[in-house]
Amino acid sequence: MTGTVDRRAIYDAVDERVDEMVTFLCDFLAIETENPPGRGYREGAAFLAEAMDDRGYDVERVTVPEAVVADHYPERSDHDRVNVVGRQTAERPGPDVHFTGHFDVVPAGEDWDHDPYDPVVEDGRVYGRGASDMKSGIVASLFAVDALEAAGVAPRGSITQSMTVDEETGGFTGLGYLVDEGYVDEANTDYCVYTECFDASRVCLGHRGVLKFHVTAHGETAHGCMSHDGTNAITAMQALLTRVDEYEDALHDRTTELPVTPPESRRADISATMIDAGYSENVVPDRCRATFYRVLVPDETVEGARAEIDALLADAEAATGVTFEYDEIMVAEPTSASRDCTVAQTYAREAGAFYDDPEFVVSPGSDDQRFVINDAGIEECIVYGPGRLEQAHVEDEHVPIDALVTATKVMAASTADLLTEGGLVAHRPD
Amino acid sequence: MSRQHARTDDELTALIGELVSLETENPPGNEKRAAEFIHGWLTDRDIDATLVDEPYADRPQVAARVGEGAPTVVLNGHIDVVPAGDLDEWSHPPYAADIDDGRLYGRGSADMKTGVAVGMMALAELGAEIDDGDRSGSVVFHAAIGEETGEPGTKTLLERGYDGDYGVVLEPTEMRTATSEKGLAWYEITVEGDPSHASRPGQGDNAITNARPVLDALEAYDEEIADREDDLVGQAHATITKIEAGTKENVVPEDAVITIDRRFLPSESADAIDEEIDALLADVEADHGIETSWERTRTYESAAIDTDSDLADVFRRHSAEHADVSTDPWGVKGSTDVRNFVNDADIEAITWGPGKLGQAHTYDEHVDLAAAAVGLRTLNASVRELLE
Repeated sequence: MTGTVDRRAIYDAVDERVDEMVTFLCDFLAIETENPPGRGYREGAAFLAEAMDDRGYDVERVTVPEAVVADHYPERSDHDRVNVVGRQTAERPGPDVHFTGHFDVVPAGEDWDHDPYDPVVEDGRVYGRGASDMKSGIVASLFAVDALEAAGVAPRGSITQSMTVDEETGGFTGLGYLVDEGYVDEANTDYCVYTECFDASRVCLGHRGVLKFHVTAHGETAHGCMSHDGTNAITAMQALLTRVDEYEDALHDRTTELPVTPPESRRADISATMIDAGYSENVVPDRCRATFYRVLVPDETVEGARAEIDALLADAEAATGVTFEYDEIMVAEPTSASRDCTVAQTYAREAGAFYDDPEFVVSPGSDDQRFVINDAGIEECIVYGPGRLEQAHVEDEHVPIDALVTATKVMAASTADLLTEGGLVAHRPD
Repeated sequence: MSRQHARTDDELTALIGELVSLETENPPGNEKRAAEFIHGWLTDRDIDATLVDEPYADRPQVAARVGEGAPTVVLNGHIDVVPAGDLDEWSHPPYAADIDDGRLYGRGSADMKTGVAVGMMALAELGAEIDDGDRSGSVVFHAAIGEETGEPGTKTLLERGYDGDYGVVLEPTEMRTATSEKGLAWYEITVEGDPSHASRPGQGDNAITNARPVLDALEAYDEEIADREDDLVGQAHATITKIEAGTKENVVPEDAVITIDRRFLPSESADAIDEEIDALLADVEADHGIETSWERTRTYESAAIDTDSDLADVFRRHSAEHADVSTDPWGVKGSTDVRNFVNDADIEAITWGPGKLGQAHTYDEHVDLAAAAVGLRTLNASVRELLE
């Protein structure tokens, strides 16, 4: 790449491909890849592998061994987990850019006015499950690289695209597996862009973490008419809930300066989301199970949260004499990149060509970005994609075509910036 | 323990084992297999027995009668059992009817298939004496359905003419004679919330958090009513027996449902308790800004007969003689179908039987087989005296 390539040529190359992108997105959305349980991954992977084959990438399909799947999703290990990695390596050495996105979608559910798997274009929007979250992100990064080539940009270094599975259930057998297996590491990746839905106008730096767990109180059963002979597990659980309430207040004071959106989410949190006890109306229950959802801000660690919860359980045990059993469902460490890192600044600058003051944000939920930063140790990793956050997981999910086009332009221009000696010429506002 | 206490009765033991091994959980109401077995057992002994397909055609119950003269003593037992619960908690499988160290283990062994077996054996033995002309009077036997869920099993049998002058509900009382029984009411309380994703709990209103002050108030209520005491049936109780909230791990729950098991004294009434629950919830609502609603889902009224009734006197004397049971007046803390005899059919009735009430509804429920044998002898002796 050279500094003589201007943005106009890149933007034009994207604009010339809008119809092709929309058609490709519709074909992609028609492949049902619902997770759970993790259906249609082989077909989805084949579609993406073929698309990258056609574009001259070196393509590898990475099938996760069943034993690894069974470790994370014991009830769903009979579904194939197939990830796809494609790489284009230039002759001239230079930085390595990695785009990654997930192609699993949450179940469509009911109450759609559109058919979730028969995508349509209406009023400048593409409708279908995964339109925003996040098949449009994968389409954007594929076509961004196409546009660079069409605009006559001769790349340096390498561009890798990975398309992964199971993000909606934790990502352990998707991007997590690719990181474990060395497909993404410091030696082969300088800049990573996770193309999850955060709006084309926003650069997402990180996400909060999650720790989901069950606690079971073990009391002793008795007939309701001799209730004082038993140890009521509900009463014991109440002692824990009281402590969790106090803990929740303390967590609300544990705020973060990071731009978590919405602003009310700039703090740690815990909620009891489920509780269940009792066999019969007249039997004192000996078991009460509660489910908790603990949200971690980026300064926290899962290990630290576990230690705090351990202390709560020990305190409740001491107070009640009842055993509380802890059972972890899912963890996702919080993560965040610096807003001053090169990839964040580059994307913010290029998004600035389309939006006044593009926002830096941090996700209130969690996604696969943590694998790249926390596990692969790559600090230059952001989330940027065309999908709209509020369209994720809703009925009649859609993505605006203009957002798809803009995000593709921002990705193409940013990639040119990152892979060009001296970068693109400075942007001149019209 | 005297030598007599340690003796078991092989035929009775076998019959208890047969009944326990027939799973008759209620809910859902699997009594049919036991009803058919009992009907066959009685018919084989030339006892006039009927499979009564009321109140439910698919859940028959059994009524039998021997003799035609007066007076008539009704022996009543229910054949349904509460569900076994977590099978891992049982060291003897709930329907294996294992015998170990003189005890028979299984769901229903105490509550109350031993009582049913004792009633069947007594009916056969006394029936033979009546048929032989050695004894006057009649004995009616009930193997009723639906007791554990308050369904009209016994009530229907009494209404269909299987009634009498005296009633003995053979629930496990360790052969103490209960002339009073506690009432029972179940309440279902719903605490409202507003769902949201658990990563943004502030956008919702957590029903589990809202349920906490309700649970606190119910625990305080239980302590408060424990001061209400009856000489025979003891304390009133309000026990939280169930709670359920939430459908997804990552969603703040929309509502929480709490179940209360309220045991009440003959001096209390379900209507009065309704008012207490209503007032309790109104206070919590006002103090904590939450919304609740409640419903009484089942009621067993309390019942009492005169402590000095003839029937009670006979059973107290024989129980003292055969099993060294104290003759002090006594009441039962559980709810039994005796209320159908006393309140609905106006029959002088007691709750009396071998086995320990404390075993009812527990894991590894069991019955002492020697105590069961003593129970049968005591029942036979008591009924003989009533029929004299």
